[in-house]
Amino acid sequence: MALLEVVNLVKHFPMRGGLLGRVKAWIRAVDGVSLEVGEDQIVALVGESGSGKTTTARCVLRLYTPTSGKILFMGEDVGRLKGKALKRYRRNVQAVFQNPFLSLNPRMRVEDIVAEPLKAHTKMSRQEIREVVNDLLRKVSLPEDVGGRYPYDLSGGQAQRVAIARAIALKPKLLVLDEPTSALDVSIQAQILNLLVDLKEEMRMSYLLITHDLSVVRYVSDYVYVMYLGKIVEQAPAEEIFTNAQHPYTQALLSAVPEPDPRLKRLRRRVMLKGEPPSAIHVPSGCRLHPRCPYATEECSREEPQLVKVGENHFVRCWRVA
Amino acid sequence: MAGVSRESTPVLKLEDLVIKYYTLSGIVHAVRGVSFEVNCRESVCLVGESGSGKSTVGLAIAHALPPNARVSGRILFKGEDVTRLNGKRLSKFVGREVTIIFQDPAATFNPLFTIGEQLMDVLRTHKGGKERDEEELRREAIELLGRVGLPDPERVFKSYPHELSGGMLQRASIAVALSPNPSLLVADEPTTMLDVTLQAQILDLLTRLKEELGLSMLFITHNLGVAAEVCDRVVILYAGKVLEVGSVEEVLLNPLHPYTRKLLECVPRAFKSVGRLKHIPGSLPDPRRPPPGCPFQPRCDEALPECSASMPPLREVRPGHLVACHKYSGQEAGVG
Repeated sequence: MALLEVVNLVKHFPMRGGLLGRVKAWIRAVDGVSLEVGEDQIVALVGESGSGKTTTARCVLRLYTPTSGKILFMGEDVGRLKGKALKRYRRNVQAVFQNPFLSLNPRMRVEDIVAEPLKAHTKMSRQEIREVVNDLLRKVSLPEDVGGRYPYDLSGGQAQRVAIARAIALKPKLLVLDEPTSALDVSIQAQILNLLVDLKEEMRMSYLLITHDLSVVRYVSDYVYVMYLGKIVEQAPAEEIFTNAQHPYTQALLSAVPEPDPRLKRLRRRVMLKGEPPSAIHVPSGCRLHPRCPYATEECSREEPQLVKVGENHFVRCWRVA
Repeated sequence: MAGVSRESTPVLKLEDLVIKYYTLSGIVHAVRGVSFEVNCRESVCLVGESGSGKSTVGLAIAHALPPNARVSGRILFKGEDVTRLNGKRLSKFVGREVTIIFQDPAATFNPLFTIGEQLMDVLRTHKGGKERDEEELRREAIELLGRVGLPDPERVFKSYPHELSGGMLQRASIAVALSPNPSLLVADEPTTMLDVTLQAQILDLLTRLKEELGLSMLFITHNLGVAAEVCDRVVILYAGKVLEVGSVEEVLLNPLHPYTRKLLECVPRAFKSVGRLKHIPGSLPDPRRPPPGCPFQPRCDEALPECSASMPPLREVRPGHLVACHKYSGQEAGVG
């Protein structure tokens, strides 16, 4: 059984307008997404702005109530959890967000920020909490004196380490990482990625990594889902995605990654998409990519392709491979 | 140098540029003696992490530094020192010969006017002199919008900034920047806020425009991959100092400075498996108290005793490839 199973998740947001605040349109942010995260696995959900990847993550965290579909955590329906069971879920599933300065309370000291989940979920004494907090700060390689400081006094990398320390305080089974390194400089990004990889090995957690950066994905993930306009368009083991991408969108994403090695750059085949992603209110008919796809045919605009198996654990939603 | 023709004068030349910000918490040494040049029809990338001073250099060239900044050293534009220009002579240079595009295109435009009105304002200012036919200006504006790859330029002309997406707005800001036919375009992280597929589109556009218009470009970025996509030469900046200069191929395939080498090793790659990423321990030095000697020395595992004593000069170690590092002292390439 998978640790986390998302089944046909749909999240539509109403767009209200006018004097009476009537619903004028629906934003189809997530439109039927199924994915799995296994034990001890790093799964990446990749997509650009507006693809619905963050909305999916927020549904998993129960920050949004799904319009329909199910989220199962260790076989339990997350949407129906209440009371103690819900508290247990929150303990097992923690999150790290993109901007640590927004996710850390500016009026709390670092040691109190990291202690907060322990206070909320355990009956540890003050002394025990202090020890655990010091332990956690060491685990994320922060200097001892950081505990007494406030978030504004930290660098971006240090602040993200605090957010990670808080997230792992309760030894969760699943960490949802929403663009955890996008706001950081490359040298700091490498530090944080290595830290996350080490912590995962040490604590046997699973990660659901939300990102737009494919190079980060290749470095850390085991399995990859590629999302476009609310749908999964391709899913495969990480190496397979990078060596044998089948969907034109995945190919375009890959070929758009800036490559510092001029020799590799010359080998690359550019797949350019036309224009920009349409809004999730007016979703194109048929395949959602067809207005931008360089290979689109008649058929693509008429009917939506299904996810088709093209290899071991490799599925693609495209008429070209169907 | 006598006998150098006008053509081979660099479009932009920085000589020992020093910029300090006077703040309540002390003097911030943002740029500490930066020299490099941008030749005609060349695109140069200024690469550095946050705090390296790369944006400060860009702002100084565009005369857009905040009032608490003090500049010394020289900024030569086509051989003429423009550091102390003001008034009419300044406006002949900034916004006409040199234009700049920024990371956030939404901040470039006034939200209360349409793209067309703002673009025509710029055209009127620069191409003016005599009264020009409004209709002609309008046609020119729409043509510019089309040239930067905006679909349906007529519609964009009538749009307000909030009606366009980030990618379209960045294209429109490029149109504004190109409208006075500048010799030099300074681009400060123009694709950092965009999605990768849109970033690829904008980078392609800038490369194409540079070829078509014979533009020189100073591209400021933190991303070595982006540098490889658009530039001929790279300048590596760290804590306000230039550590390495050379052609893109030279610097990225054969980095000499320990910092450049480490920086390349920290980048996760989509096109090859890299094993475990190396990272650079520590962080940038405090710009209020820059360490003496090489600014990278506290984080460098190849540091020599002299590294903390004096800043090594930029030496040409291979043809056209300069590095500021004590490791290479006495290894100058045969240059007279």
